[in-house]
Parts: sequence; structure tokens; C-alpha cells
Amino acid sequence: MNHSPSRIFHRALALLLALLLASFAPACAEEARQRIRVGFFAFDGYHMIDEGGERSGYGCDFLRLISRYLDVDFEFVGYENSWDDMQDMLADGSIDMVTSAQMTPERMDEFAFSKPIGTSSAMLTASSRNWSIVAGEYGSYDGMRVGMLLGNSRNDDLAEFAAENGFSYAPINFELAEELEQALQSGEVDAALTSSLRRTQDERVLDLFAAHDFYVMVRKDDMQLLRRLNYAINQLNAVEGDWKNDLNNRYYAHLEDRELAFTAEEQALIQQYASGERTLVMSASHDRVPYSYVEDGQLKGIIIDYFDMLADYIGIPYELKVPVSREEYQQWRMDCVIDGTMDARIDSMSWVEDNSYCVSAPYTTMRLAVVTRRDFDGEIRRLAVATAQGLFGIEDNFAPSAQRIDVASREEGMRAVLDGKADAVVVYLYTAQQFVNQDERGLLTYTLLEEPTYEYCVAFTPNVSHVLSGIFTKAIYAMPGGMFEDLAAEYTSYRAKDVDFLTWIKIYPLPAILLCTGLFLMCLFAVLLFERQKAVRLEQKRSAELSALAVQAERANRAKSDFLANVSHDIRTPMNAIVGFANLMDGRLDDPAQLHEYIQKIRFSSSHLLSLIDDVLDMSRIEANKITLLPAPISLTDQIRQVEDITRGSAAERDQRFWVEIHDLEHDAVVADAVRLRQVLLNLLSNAVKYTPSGGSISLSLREFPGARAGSANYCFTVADNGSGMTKDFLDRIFEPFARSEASVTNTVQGTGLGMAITKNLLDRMKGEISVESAPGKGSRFELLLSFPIASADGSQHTELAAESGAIAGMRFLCAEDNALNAEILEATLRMHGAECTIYPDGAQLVQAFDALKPEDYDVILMDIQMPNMNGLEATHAIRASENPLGARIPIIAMTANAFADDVRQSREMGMNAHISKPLDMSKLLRALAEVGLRGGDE
Amino acid sequence: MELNVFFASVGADGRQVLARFPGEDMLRRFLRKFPGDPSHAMLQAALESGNLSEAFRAAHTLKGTAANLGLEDLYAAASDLTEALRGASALPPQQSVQAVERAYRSAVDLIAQLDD
Repeated sequence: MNHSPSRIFHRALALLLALLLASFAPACAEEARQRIRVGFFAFDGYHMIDEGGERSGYGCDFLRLISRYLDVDFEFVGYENSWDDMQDMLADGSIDMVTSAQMTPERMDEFAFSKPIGTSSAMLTASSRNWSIVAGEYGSYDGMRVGMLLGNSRNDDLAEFAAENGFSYAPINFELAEELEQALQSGEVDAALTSSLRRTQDERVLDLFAAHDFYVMVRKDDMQLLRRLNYAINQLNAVEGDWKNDLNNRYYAHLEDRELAFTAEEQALIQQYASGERTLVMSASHDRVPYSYVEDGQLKGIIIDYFDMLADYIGIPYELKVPVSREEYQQWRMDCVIDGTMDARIDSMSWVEDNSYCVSAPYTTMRLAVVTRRDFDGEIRRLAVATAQGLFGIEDNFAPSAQRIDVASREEGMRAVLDGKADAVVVYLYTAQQFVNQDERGLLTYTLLEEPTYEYCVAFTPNVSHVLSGIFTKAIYAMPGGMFEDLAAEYTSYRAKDVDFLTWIKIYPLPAILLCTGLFLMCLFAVLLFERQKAVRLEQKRSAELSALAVQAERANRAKSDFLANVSHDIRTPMNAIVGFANLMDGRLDDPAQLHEYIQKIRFSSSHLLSLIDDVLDMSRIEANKITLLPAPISLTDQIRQVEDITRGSAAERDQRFWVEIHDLEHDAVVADAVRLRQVLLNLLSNAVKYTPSGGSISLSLREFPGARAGSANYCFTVADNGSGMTKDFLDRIFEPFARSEASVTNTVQGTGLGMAITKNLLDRMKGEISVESAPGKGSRFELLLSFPIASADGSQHTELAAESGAIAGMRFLCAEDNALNAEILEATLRMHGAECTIYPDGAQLVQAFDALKPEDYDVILMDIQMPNMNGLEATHAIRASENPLGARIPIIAMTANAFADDVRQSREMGMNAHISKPLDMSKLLRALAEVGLRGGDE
Repeated sequence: MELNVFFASVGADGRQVLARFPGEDMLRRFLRKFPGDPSHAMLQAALESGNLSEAFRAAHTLKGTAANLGLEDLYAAASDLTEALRGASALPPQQSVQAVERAYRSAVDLIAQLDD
């Protein structure tokens, strides 16, 4: 970003003018419009007014949204009044509407309600310091004092909730939410009940219940206002997207349930600190801006803020001891003058253990960055090194040939770089970010170092109980992800307000002179103000971009980015064609023949794009090891026939001859993944068709040769053609992603360039080998060597119609599945493979039917777990306990959408023999049947 | 809309889904039945009335049906919601519910566009 004099001048000027204008109120002629008085009772998170008089909150933002669509002025009334007052004020006409109302029968006698404007629940909270009430353990709720707001409909919800959960409570009424919050924190009440529209602080949520919509409430006779409100709400629903959700996230994101379960021992210790029986003395480094540093005699910084959030969350008070030097800080640590440090970096855990210190889990990973000038040429000749704060020897290995320039601190090091006295300095990432972002002239930049990184944690001296490290670890885990980074952004991001007019004059005297030409500047005012905002936005964007880059740099992986670049390039080509032809179509709407041709081209490019995306997905699944082969008994001839059918069509289109030969096939039935085997063969065959000119020949052959291992057989598949062939160079990289023959003959050929890479990967998975012979103009010949286990003698050696289908033919399944559609799919799947089945819609009906069964009626039970009336686990239990002799021995296979180890364990305990996760497919079923001893087909 | 385009649009690999069914026609037939399946309506009703255990069951069923039919996006969203509802004592986060709604709507819309 360059700071040309004219831009600085713009900015300085704009600031000046903005200051001047700020003192004038608008003096336009006002059009007469209706004034609506809105009840605006104080309620944190919903209706708020800050010291500057700025209003905010869900309710406030809702009014701002509807005011976009209504020609009215709102007047905000009654900030000092209570919710209870609001209803009276609305009734007597001193306000016209109030916006957070629940609809209740009593209120409907007197008031009318708009369309819903949000959803809220009743929220029961306790102070974060009060651990005597355990969320969800209603025994611990019994007899508690609950503070609530007068006239609030939520109070009835609690009565119902308490009756349902069997606890009693003493209600204590408050006028204002603020009084209620104070009473909760002072211990006057044990819990607070309000709507979840209240934003909480230092409170933990015990329960959220009775979720209902809330509305704008108006007087019953004020139908005109109600109609206008509903009109505006309709507009919001149509235009503003998911506005309710957005407002919720803006003001109540904290409501996500993050319940910390402290053990009794931990609670007891926290209590000792909270009551003042013990004091916790903490400290941190004094010279690590912006992580922790001393300003005005106080410790400040990201780490201090973060620790404060942890302590606040736990409800543990602490004292901060401010060190004056690094030596003093180290001495305190060794002499146990302090109880703990917030910024511990552990080099040796053994030292920690041997000396009876303890540490929390790490809460952040600190990284280093090299700060240089923007015009730096890349070679570090002079490296600034902070003598007092050496970075653990990192500089020893960094740019070893560079001259060392001693500086007192890292800040001084960065200043030396800025002034050109040094080329580079190594500092912590956020230190670099802060300094670079706050350097007005934009002369500096920084580069993130991959290595080394340091994990920081909270450490405690032998002074205190090790239980503290567990307490803080739980708090660290409970913090929302990215909390540390969010706090860091407060310190490191560029702040426009730091740029005052004087700074600019100081750095650049020239604009000061220019400013004298005031009149001229007046004319430019509008443009300049815009310029300034744009500049600030650019600066903010730049700092955001820099941090994003830092994150990316960590993850950057050259191979992946090459791959991505290729994918993007390849996706662009058909995409451009689609966009291009779509544009052309616009100009030819009157010419159906031409339109038809363009549509054909779009369709062609789309299907190419789709196959490219399919391949990319396949490739990434393979690379992420997400593809599992699903071997099942299959017939090889059957697979060859299927592949032949598909290929014959495309070969015929190009007038190519296509031969298929099968030799010496002793074992046709093998165990293999049919889908993947076909994919491999089709990849090779479609290439052969593509790269062979019209009139050429293509062949596919399969030959078995004597097996090496007992129980398995070896096969050689050959795909050959007499097409364009490949050069030696290309052969060397044919299996790399996006390798594509560049020969002029093939330029017109569409291919994704991923097919061979996928083929190779799949073959690796199948433990197969592929070899290729080819020469330009001589055609190509691919040979695959694969070995498959021979399918067992159990009905699977019939040739032709696949063993896959025959494997469960004639078996009788008894099933329970409550969902009609799933039941139908199950039935179709089983019948397609020749099995019979009876399906009951719940456990109870299956168990009832089971008692009357004869042993020979069914072979196996397939049981859904989640069902109404009697679930799968209960049904299994009942069957196993049944008097029917079949009950003890019939295999039961659980069939659910759950893949959790826990559920599997539970189903086994209940007497189930195996477990299949949905979606049901043949190979899973065969595997489960093998597991329960019904089939031996699988390896 | 062709089946492979359909499955690409719902986040699945059409080839893998098709391998589980007797044929394209059968798969299309089942897909067309999906909008009439009651589990989504049950989920909505349970969430509206705040019946969490019923909502859990409905989400779970919806997840299973989506898995069976290869509606991957819906399956992923329904899985998240199922987990949010498992043993829950409060309504799930709006985002999870919204994600299921979006995936469900788009699946139903796409099914309406399937070729015969």
C-alpha cells in the first residue's frame, strides 16, 4: 500500500472536515410522518443504551430492520421502566407497541399480536460462582430461591417445568432485570428466571425450556399499526434472509451450551479461593508486547486478557504481581513467590514433574515471524537480536552468516529494521503483526516462520494444589475456538482512530501546507470522505489478509496447491464455454436452430465439467484414504460383460472394432469390489476409445494363470488399442494427476487428466500392478495383474449370473423397521438378491409375532434400533428371553444410522450378534452374515 | 435432470448409490417417495412443541432415510442435528435446524426435477 502525498492529504482533510461537520445537526425540512412510541425497557441484550447514548440489542435492531420498510419515526420510551410497567403503559396509551411479548390467553383479551419476530425460551441461570446447583440434577434444585420478573409469562413456564421435574422453589419477584442480576450475584437468590433474550454475564445456564415465538404487541383496537407491522415483517422475511437467526447470533451467541463439569474436589478448591481463604497470585512476562507487557504500572496484553476470561469463567479471583525485569520474574518463579505463571512455555516436562510444578493443557501455539522492510532484497546481512530477550537460540541458526546487531528489545529491533539499520529481526507473530499494522507509513512487512512453534500453558508452582491445573484445563477447553486469536486481533489490527491529524503532519509536513487551500478542499469533500473510508477499509482488509495468509502458510502444501491450480484451470475451461454460449444464446432468442446448437454445447461442457468434478472427488477421497474397498463375491465374466456393454456403444459411435476375449478361466467367482474393478477397466477402455481414431481396433482380454497362494487366483486383464500411442516422456508421467498427452492429434480430445491417476491409486488399493507399453502411432497396451480370493463353494460357483446376487438367495429375514420408506428400500434390496423377508414396523409387533414362530421360519433377524413402542434393544432382550427355542439362537443383526462404538457395544450387550450401519448394501450385509456364521463368503 | 447430476447436487457419488439398488428406475421410484416420508414433518412438529426425545427420534430416522437414498448433504446435516439432540435438555442450536431445513428443501426441490 503506498502512501502518496495526495492520499495523505485527502485523509487529513477528510478528518478535519468530518470533525467540523460533526458539530452540526441535520437541518432538513422534515416530512410529516407518524411517530410510534415503542416500549424500550432496559434488558441486557435486547434493549440497551450505552454511555454515549447509542442504542443496541435484538429489539433495537429489529426496529431498525422494519424501519427500512415503514415510513414512520420511532420514539423510544421507558428505558427506566420494567416489563410489568410496559403492559400498563401500552394499555393506557402512553406507548403504542412493545416488542418482546409472548402470546398468552390473558394478554389476548386486551392486546393484539404481530407475526412472530423471534423465538425465545425460558432460561434458568445460576451465578458462575455458585456450584451447589448442578444443571439437570433436579434434586439439587429443590428448595432454591428463584428470582423472577414481575408479570413475566415465563414465571408460569417455570411452575410447569418444576412440576414436571419434581422440584420445589421459592419465587422472589423483581421489578427490573438489573435488580434481579444483582440479587443473583450477591446470593440473595440462588437462580434467576428470565426469557433467554436476556444477555448473561458471570452466569451459567442451568436450563432452557418452553421455547416459544415472541411478537410485537399492540392495543387490540390499533389494527392499522398491526397491519403496517405485519407488512414490514413480511418484507423482512422476503428480503432480509434469515434475519432472526442473524440477530440471535449477534446478541446471544454465548448461549451455546458450554457446561463445565467441575468435580466436587475442584469445586471445593475453587470455593476456598472464592471465599478468600486462599489467594492466588499470578504473574506474566513484562516485556512481550502485545502478549503481556507493563503499561502505567499494570500488566496488560493478550495473555492477561485470556487468563482473565479463564478465571472469570471458573469464578476464581486472583492477584496480579507485576515484575520489573525478566530476572525478577524468573526469580519469582523459582522461589515460588508467585503461585503461577500465565505464559509458561515448557521445555522439559520432566523438569516440571521432578520439581513438583504442574501445568494446564496448552491454550495457544505461538509462532515466529521475520520482520523486514517492504523493499528488502531477500538477503539478510544484518540481523537485529534482542540481547535481553533472546528467542531461545532461534537466531543462532537463522541466517548464520549475517552480522548480529544487538538491540535492547524486540521493539527496538523492529525500529532498527524500519530505520534501515538492520535487514531483519525475528519476533513473535502478533508482535510483528501489531508493529507492522500500526506503522502508518506501511514500510514493513513480515513473513511467518513454519518452525519453530511454542505451546503456551498456565503453570503453577509447588505452592499450590495440582488440582488447579485440571480446573484451568477444563476452562481452556470450554473457551470457544479461536478465542485467543480474537483477543489478539484487538491488539494487532490497524485502528483508524490511532491516526490523528497531528500524526500525519508530524510525519509529512507537506500536507499541512496544502491544507491552507481550504476553499478548494470544501468542493472535494464528498469524494475525500469516501476515499478515507475506503483507505481505512483497505488497511483493515490488509491486516485481515495478512493474518489469513499466515494461517494459509502453515497449511500450504506444494503438491496440493499444484493439484488445485490444475483443477481450477481445468474447471475454468468448460465453465467459460458454458458462460460464453449462455451469452451467445441471449442474442439468438429468435433462432431456434442456433439456440439448439448452443444448448448442445452447454450440455456437452456441463457433462464434461461433471465428470471432472466426479474425478476430483474420487481423487481426493482416495488421497484422504476415504475409499474403502467393499469386496463381495462376484463373477468376473459378469463384470467383463457389463464393461463390454458400456464400451461397445462408444466404440461403435467411432466406428471402432471392439474385441473381448476370456481365456483359461478356472475360477470365475472371486471376492472383489465390483464397482472399483469396473471403474478401473472403464477408465482404460474409455481412454482407448478416445485416443484411437475412427476405424481402429480396441481389445479387452482376461486370462487366469496359476495362483501363488492357496485359496486365491491370479488374473491378467489386458486393454490394447492401435491408436495414437504415447511418447516416452509422457509414459514416464502418465500416472500423475493432470498428465495429458499434448500430441496435436489429441488436442480435440476431452479428458479430465485424472483417470490414470485414479486407476493407479485404485490398483494400489487392490494390491494390483499395472504396466504399459506404447509408442507414438503404434497404439498402447495396458496390462493389469490382480489377485483375488476365490469365492467359497457355497452356491457361488455358478457362472454368469453373479455370485453376488446368489449369496443370500432363499434366505429368510425377519426385520423391524419403523420408517415406511426405509422398510420398502430394505425389502427391495433383499428381494433383488432373492431373499425373503417380513418387516414389522416396531419392536413390540416383531416380538409378538416372534413368539408364534416355528424354528424353520426365519434364518436371521435384522433389527432397527430407534423405534417407537419398543426399541431394538428392548426387542432383542425380549427375544433372547423368549420361551420360543429359536429366541436363544437366531442371529440378530442391528441396523441403524449410528456408527458409534458405544451403540455397537450396547447392542452386543443386549444380545445382538452384529451391527450394520445404514445405508444397507450387499457387501455390508454379507460381512455381517459371515460374522454371525451364516455365510463364509467374505475374507 | 439425470441421476448423476442429481446426486452431484445433493453431495453424493451417484455411482456408489446406484450400486446399492436394483436399477435406476427403482432408485428414482424411491427418491420420488421421499417427499412423502413423514419423518421431516415429525421432526418439525417435535421441535415446535419442544418434545426433545421425539425430535431426536425423528432426526435419527431422517438421517437413516437420507443415508439409504444417498442424500449426502441432508445425511450430514441430520447427523449433526441428531447428535445435538442426543440426550439434550434444551433445543438444538438454530444453525443445526436450519442446515437440515436447507438440505431437505433442496433435496425435495431436486427430486421434483428428476427425469422420468
